Amino acid sequence: MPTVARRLSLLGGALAALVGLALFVLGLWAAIGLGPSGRAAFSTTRQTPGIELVGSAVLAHVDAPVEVTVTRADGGPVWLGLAHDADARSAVGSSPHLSVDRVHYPSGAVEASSVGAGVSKATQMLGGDVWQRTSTGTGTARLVVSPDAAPLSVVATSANAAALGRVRTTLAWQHRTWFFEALAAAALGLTIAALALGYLRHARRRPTPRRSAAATGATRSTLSTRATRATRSTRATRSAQVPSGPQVGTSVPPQASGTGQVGRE
Amino acid sequence: MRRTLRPAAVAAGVALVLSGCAAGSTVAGLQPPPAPETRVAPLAPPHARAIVDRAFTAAAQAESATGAQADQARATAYTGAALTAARAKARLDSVQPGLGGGPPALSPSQPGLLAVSRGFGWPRVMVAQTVPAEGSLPVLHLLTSPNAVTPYRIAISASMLPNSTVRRFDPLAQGSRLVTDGTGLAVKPATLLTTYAASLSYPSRRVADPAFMPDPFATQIRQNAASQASSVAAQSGFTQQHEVVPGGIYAVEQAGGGALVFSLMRRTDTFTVKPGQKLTAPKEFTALVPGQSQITSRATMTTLELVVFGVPAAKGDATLLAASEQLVAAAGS
Repeated sequence: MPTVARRLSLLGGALAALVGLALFVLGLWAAIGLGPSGRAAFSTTRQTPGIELVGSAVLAHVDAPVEVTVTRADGGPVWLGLAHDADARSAVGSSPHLSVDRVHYPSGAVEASSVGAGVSKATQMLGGDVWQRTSTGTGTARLVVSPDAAPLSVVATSANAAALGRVRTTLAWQHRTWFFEALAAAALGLTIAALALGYLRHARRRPTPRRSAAATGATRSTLSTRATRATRSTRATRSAQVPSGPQVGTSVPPQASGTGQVGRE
Repeated sequence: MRRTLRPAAVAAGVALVLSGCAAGSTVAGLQPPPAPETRVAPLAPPHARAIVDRAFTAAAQAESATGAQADQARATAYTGAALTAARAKARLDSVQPGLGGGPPALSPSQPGLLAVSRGFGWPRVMVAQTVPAEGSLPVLHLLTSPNAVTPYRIAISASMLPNSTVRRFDPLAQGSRLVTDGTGLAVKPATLLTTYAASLSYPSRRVADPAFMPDPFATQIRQNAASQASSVAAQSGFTQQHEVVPGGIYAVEQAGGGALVFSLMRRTDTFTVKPGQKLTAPKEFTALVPGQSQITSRATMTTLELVVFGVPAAKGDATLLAASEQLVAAAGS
């Protein structure tokens, strides 16, 4: 039973070391990626019809303000509108549009798909009252979306009948504490890995525990299996040279003990 | 003792690491998206107030401007029947100032927002109140938005009747339910308005068990119809019909039950000239039908009636709280 416990503790130590190292690497990688400002940015460049929709699955998935930046390759006008997700989707309707649905952290991938096949409402939607905030620009427009109790979406259009063309969409979250959290995670991982490795090293160097005199042959056989040949050889030599009587865990035969007693006198 | 503590220490270490990983998942702030909230107003109160201000500013501009600029301002401020009424008034006033009467929505001041419809369905409405600068009776307004790409505009405006009061609505941020289908009301709005319209017709028609209280507006309508019929009795017959404009009813639930019901009705006055007789058309008629000063056969005048009822929740009769009318069309030969 003690052997099983020892194996489990060694296994746990190894596991802790591995997880600690992984946490250290990930934390360090995240800290480098975020930088001291704690900024996580995701970008995608796509060919876009008249409308682009950055959905609530992206914006509401984060507990910090999101900066949405849409940049047209041709430098044309860009209009951004923020609305409740239901309202934004209602305004877009079946218009052909690029839907930005998800971002993946830490890979940085952005999932987007082209949907809708109806008549574009790009020129009409600007007149609605569903837009909580809007932003316009030439070539690029930017809008910062704060977390809200209700899901929000951002819609981008050219503000006219023309398609947006090739568009680069960047979503950026910034939270200074994220950098320090990543550093803390790396430090925690490093600490755990160091402790676990230290424990493993200590456990491997520790001598094999001795057995009591009442130990059975089966026990001795077990010890013999775990010990190295060199150790067994040394023990055997020591027993022959210094026969100091029956020792715990040795296999000195009963008749040899008399010799030992004579020699000691 | 040390041997028994080792597995526990290792387990604690693993738990610590796992908790560190959990914290790491929030490094980029990722979290489950919130569920859509439907029991709120779709507009924040400041946004809603800004929309109301925009509509009434445009209404005021339509009053002061002329030509295409005035037309554009009217189209920004009004929609549907209210736009029809505003255009007709402008046309009548262009013939003779004051001929179009004084529709309440056209001279508003300091609009107050009373209610915003709840949820994210369509159409959406807002209830506002203005107090004309002249110090006359307050005016109730209904602003509507039929879909996400059409802005809110004034759809119905009606002057409150003397001694009438409007009970409060749910908080603006919470929004007020639209109960146009009659849910939770003593009488369905459509039934109420159809019965009310029928009760106003001339020759008068008795309505059995009306679900509304007698009101001064109806009394005045009936008296004017009888007076009109009497004044032209020698030259023509006279009938007056009232009908509810389809899609022109909106009921906004009030706090504690009941609803404020806005409705549009169309009144048609018909003159059937007797053989060998003729009628002299009034100024309002000739303003809408230029060159037609004599009626020898038949004439009709169409007036929009904008009414607001207070409908109780469980039982009891509805009460007319506000009403206005505007002549919008005429035809004759």
